[in-house]
Amino acid sequence: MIKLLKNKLEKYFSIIKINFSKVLVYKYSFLIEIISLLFQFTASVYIWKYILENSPQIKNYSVISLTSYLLFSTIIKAITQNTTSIDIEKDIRTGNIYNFLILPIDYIFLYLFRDIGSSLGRILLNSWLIGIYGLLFFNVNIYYGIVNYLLFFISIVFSILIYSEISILIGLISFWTVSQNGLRYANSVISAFFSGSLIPLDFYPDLLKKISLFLPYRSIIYVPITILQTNTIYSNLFQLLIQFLWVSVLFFINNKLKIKAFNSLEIVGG
Amino acid sequence: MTDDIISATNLSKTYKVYLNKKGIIGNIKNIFIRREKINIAAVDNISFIIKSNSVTGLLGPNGAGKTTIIKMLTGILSPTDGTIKSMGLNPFSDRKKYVKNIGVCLGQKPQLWWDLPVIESYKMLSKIYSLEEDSFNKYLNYLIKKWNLEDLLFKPVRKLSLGQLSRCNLIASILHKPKLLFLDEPTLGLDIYYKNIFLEMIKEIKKDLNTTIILTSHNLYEIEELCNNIILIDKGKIIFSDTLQTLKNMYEKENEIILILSKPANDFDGNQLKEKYNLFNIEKLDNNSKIKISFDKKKINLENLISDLLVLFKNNIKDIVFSNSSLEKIIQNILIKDHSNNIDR
Amino acid sequence: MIKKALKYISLYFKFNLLYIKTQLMYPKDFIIWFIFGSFSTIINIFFMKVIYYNTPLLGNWDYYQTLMILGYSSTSIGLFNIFFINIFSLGSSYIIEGKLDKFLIRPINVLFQLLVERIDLDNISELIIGVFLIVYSALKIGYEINVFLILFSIVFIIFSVFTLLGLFLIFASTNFWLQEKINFIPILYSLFNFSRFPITIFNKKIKLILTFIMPYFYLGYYPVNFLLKIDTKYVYTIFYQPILCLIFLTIGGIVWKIGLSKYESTSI
Repeated sequence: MIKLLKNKLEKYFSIIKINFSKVLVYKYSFLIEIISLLFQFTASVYIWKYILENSPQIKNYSVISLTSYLLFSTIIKAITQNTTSIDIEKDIRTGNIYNFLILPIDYIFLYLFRDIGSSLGRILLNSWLIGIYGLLFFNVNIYYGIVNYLLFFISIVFSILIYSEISILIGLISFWTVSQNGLRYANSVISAFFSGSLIPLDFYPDLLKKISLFLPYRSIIYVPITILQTNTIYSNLFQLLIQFLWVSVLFFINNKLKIKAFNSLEIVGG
Repeated sequence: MTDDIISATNLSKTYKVYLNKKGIIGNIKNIFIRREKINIAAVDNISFIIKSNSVTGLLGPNGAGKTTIIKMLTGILSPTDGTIKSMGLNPFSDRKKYVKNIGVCLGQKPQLWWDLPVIESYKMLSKIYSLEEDSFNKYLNYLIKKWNLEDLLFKPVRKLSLGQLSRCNLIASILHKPKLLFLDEPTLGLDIYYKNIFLEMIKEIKKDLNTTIILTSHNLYEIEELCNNIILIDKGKIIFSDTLQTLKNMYEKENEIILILSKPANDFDGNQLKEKYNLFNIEKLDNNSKIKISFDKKKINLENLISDLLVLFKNNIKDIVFSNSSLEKIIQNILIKDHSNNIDR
Repeated sequence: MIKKALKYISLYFKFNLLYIKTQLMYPKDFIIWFIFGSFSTIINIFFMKVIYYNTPLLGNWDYYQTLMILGYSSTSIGLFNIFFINIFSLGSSYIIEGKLDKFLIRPINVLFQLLVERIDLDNISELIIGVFLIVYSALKIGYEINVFLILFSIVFIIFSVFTLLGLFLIFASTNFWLQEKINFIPILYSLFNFSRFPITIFNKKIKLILTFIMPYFYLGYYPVNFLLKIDTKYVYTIFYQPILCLIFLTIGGIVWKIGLSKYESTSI
């Protein structure tokens, strides 16, 4: 029994390892990705710096804390990027998904661990570059308490899982939709807007703020950074709980979808 | 009297390759220390002539340099050394002028626009090659009727099957009635049915247009059906360049007779027969129910051998199979010989 | 010489018409794509709204004035994405897979064939929304929509598109040397983030770089600033654009030519 578990873990651990080293191989394209993100970061910082300098301390943010927010937002974006939706779509389109029925690996876990592996690689290789850029050229604050950072790291793990699960969800849905790129594109755009990646959700008008509470996207960027930047432990723990709930709900939905997809595959034959 | 349409002299193509060190430390070293450079000759000082109106097959193992030669002959790639004269022009430096009279059919890279219907691709090509409208339409209609392509004309290229795509691609490459046609593995991936149709098309095209054709292929049946000349390339050098018939005559050595017996010949010892006729080999197969005899047809008296066999295995022969040396075997033997020569060098 | 130019122009039109005709044959896909393609521009508009929800002015610019910048920027980018989108695939597919070979085999210019090979109507929503924004914001500001505005816009948007072509050509051609190792296109694309805002919020270095070295500020800010005359210091900077356009196209053409001859000597 324990051996079975150990085998399973080894399997998934090797997936993590492979994707971790993949990041090393594709180092140049990741570098380009980071530079692109840094441009977006720079533009945003200038815009909001200007706004805050003309009306300081609005909505509990100073120039420094807002710049820090944007910096961490860029880091999280860099960490969580994946091609999972595209790959799952391709699997379905080319019928490759059929091969996964035969393998002794759970399809969802395969992609989930793949994303974990590559995210780990990105954390190691890319995140500190962004941090250095921020520290060198802008006024940022990275000195938050140890407890904050501890909770932050747990929160980041949840972020990675949620982002990955949403990507898997989008990929699986393509099994039933005709248009392939549209849904993915729409998702990336809605995600950018409601995750708080462009600016903290506090700056949004009330209606949009309310909408964001019902979507999983805010748990990807807004929640982790808020946990880092605020000191109220109970609300932080509560946020973590919500993240965990989203992880579970999405996982549950994905599993149901996967079973449905595989069943109809077996009937039709690919 | 056929003249030379292509002549290549001392043609070479060398690539500079940087040796990369492996591993993480190696990768770092690669960035800072100057890497070792070596020269690799993809095509090594070759010379050949292609006669007008001929069909020449370019053969050789993968990586031998065939595609490099085709690229140089079509003006896509510049030679490192040597000269090519094709239809009086230098393919590389006179490319725009040269290309107007050649057709190229690359198996894996179709000429047609992916999203457009086939007929529109043809029309675009006619404009690109500045073809006169009436004669183009006439010729196109003739081709469509001849090869039953009416149904395919209005389909977007991305919806065609491989067999349909290959045929349409071949047509695209001859719309401007080129004098020289290059085919690079055109039937790769096609099933038997379409392979044959494709061969028929090439034969007809040659008849219609009197084109000179240069063909690379791994399919030796194709080569035998179409080519009168063969150029065999290995490791950038020409190991054979002559007519197909000469190749067969020079190298056709191994012939076989296989006797299929009704009762196994357990007591039979072939050594006597082997010595008498100087055979390559006699062996018993399949639990002694088959006898395989290998020999050189030209060096023995075939009639005597057969009558000896009929006597030896009287009332026991269920079937006889004669096989001549296949083109594949001939070429394999040449390549093996060339490799062993290289080892000696 | 003129005959040649005419031939290319007629080829270009013929091809584009064909392409549009073919894409219209599948109206269902097209509509879906139109809707999804407009998402990014709509998000940009929302983002602008959020900004101005939190402040009345950005620099000296109010909401509708900045919206006009967004309009010009989206129009130029949309046009570029429709007609010249194939340049994105140069490094990622045409060079590596040797697809340029099939262009070399034909008796017409290779770059022309590359750009003509594909036009992407999916981006037409970006273009249409962009034009709509220009008209809408002009009306809200009270700027008269006359012949001059139309002519001016057309001329300078076309300059923008061709300047982008030159710029992208320079960086895309580097793939002749770098192949699949580095692809600069995402970075160029990400710089569009700067083209939607008045430049007075940025510092001096950024202003210089994005005006003269990577001319992104001409996509939206400089033309609108000339029309509305808000920042007096930069009102006439727009007139540098034709010169820059020529420079970038020339350099782009040269780098392309050198890159292509390298392709022909190493046959990737």
